[in-house]
Amino acid sequence: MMGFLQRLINKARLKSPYVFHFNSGSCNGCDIEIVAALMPRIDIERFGMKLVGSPRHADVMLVTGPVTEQIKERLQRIYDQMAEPKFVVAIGSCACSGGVFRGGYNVLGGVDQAIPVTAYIPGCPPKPSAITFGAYKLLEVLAEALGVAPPKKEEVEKIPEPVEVQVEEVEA
Amino acid sequence: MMQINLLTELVFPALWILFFPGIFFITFLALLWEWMDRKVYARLQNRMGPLHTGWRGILQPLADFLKLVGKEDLTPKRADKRSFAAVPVIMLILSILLCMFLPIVDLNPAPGVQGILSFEGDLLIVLFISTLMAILIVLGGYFSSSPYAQTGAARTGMLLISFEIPLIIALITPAILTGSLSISTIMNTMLGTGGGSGLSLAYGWLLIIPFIVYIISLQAELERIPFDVSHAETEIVHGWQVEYSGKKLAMIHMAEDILLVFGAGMATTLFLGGPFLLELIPLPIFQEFGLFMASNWFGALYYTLVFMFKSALVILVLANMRTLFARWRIDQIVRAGWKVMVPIALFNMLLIQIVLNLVFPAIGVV
Ligand code: SF4
Repeated sequence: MMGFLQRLINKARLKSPYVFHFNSGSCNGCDIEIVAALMPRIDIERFGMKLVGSPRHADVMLVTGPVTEQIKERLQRIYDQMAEPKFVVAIGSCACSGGVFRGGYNVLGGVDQAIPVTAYIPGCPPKPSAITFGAYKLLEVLAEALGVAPPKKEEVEKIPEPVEVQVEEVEA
Repeated sequence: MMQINLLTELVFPALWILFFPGIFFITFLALLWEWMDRKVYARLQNRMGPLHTGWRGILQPLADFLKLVGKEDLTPKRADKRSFAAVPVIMLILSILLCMFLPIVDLNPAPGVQGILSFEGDLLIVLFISTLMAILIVLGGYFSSSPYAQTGAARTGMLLISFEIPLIIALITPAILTGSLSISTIMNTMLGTGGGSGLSLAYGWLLIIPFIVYIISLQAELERIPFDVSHAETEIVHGWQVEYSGKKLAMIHMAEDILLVFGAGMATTLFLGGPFLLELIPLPIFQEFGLFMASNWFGALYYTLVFMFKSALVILVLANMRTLFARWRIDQIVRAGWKVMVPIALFNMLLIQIVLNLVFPAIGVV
């Protein structure tokens, strides 16, 4: 009985990751792309992902931007505030390695210098579809760790056709 | 003989409370309505909404719930531990208790469908508990000792104080029309189900303004957009829920969903005619249909489906409101509450008294 419940919960974990967004010094390019991934074209709510405001509610933390000496403590504190099981996704070249800011006097480098990272999504900024793909990779890793079947690949790649939007002609 | 008595007197009522129109069914409805709400919200924004969890994502709320149950349960160091843990439990219990008063189906529907709990004066209890929910929310914020949660709690208090009064006035309008304070009796007297001839259709016009007031105040009571200042993500993280995680958050989400079921169910019961649809058409064939449904087990299915259909319409309206508006500021909300909603509700009371005492006798409406 307990085993069955545990399996059910593991399945549910794959199906409903709540994401929380943390900006550790990004130029805001990556943040806009995350928002774009929530928008109609590539709606990541299809996979049950929901943007929540509080780290206590979140399963996945999306970090954008390089980690500076100043933000490091805050980043670690926010990471500690999340409830287990928790995962971190580094979004953008800056969050992966430091990007264009690498070598700055106060730049530590990527997010993995401060907290453990599960998935890296490079790009400056990464496309929304790349973010979705990264999220899928994270779910795969998660599925492996939890020992449940990962979500089907076709499901993820099936992006719904964009709906034609009629733009009214504005008279000059 | 003894065994039969046991079956009808113990097992049936227990199943009644636990499963069918009781806790299990209400939980099921809560998850279903949340899915519908999210889906409609997404479709109105030209998105797909949850898609890959079950058919069209119908299991998404269940997956969210199970996931939250399985998560680590954190309590802030400075929080008042016992009270912090008690708030979600009490919220969940009270919200389920509220739903017990909704007349959905009945073992013996001939004298009118009654709720699982139903007695004279239960409307007052329901109003009392719904005010208690507001106090619980404020307490939940204060017990977690986080500045964000306390700001959220203060805002919730402001919001609920403003909208509790129009809500109460809107809900007692049907009670004034029928002269009863029991939810099931109000519904049955209004419709003429379970004996009596019912109120004439002219009374229906009097319910339009209270219905609109009720829907708007309901949206505020449930703290949904445009009244979501109390958990404005962009300003105060997540308002009073900010420190809750794991099982406690699961319970809070479930309680919110059940309150949605209750709100939509109250609108259905008091304003939209409860679980009756075809019986209300004054043609002999439909009257016979009503009697047939009231006399056997098909009735249970029919009443449930009609109830769900009408509640779904209310949810549709609420989801539309959520999409159409942006968040209002606190001052705008308080002003809207006291300068618009309360006067409209009070004016409507006056109007109803005038119509009942002067206009209806003059034009001969019974
Ligand atoms: S990766 Fe590019 S877009 Fe993203 S934060 Fe760094 S510089 Fe900005």
